[in-house]
Amino acid sequence: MVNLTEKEKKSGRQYRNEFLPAMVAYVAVLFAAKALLKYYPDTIWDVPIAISPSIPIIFGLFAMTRFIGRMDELMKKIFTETAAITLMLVTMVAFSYGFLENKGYPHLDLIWSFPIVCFVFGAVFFFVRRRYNGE
Amino acid sequence: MENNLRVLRAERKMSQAELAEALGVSRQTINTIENGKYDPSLPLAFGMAGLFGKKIEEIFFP
Repeated sequence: MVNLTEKEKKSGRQYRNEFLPAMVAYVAVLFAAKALLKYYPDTIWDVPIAISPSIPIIFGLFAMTRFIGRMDELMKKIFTETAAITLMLVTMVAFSYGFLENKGYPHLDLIWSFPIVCFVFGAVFFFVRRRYNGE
Repeated sequence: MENNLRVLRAERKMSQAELAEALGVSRQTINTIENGKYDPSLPLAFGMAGLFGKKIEEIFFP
């Protein structure tokens, strides 16, 4: 069972209050951008509209950055190790898959990079955190 | 690094959560330090020394 201190609980609440509105805004902007591009596909605004869903994501990333900044030193160390391993794994697999694409394997859209990094980060975090489970 | 944090904490009848709260870190941090799986930063070690009224080298040793 995880016993969180008051400071951690407060930090978690602050993170949710910052991150959730960013994600709600992301979904809203995504649907709005798709609709606009469908009905007005060839305007000078199509590029800004196409990338507009990234703007709320940036606010989500700010929320994550502030959350990491509020973490205590052990959790920062776990996050740093997880980030380093994730970086090595994802770039190595992406690099290798690039060679396979040259041999005719299906092209992987770059839009998948963010979800893949999040998934790998979560999996690696599970194992790194276990190493520091001092029970 | 070895340490006698668990002994010092027990002498003062403090739980890991109470010590964590007093030092502004997570309970897991205290737990991993007590089990020798994590060495604290200097500021945290000084915080512990101040809280227990000891020198750092009286709490941590190689």
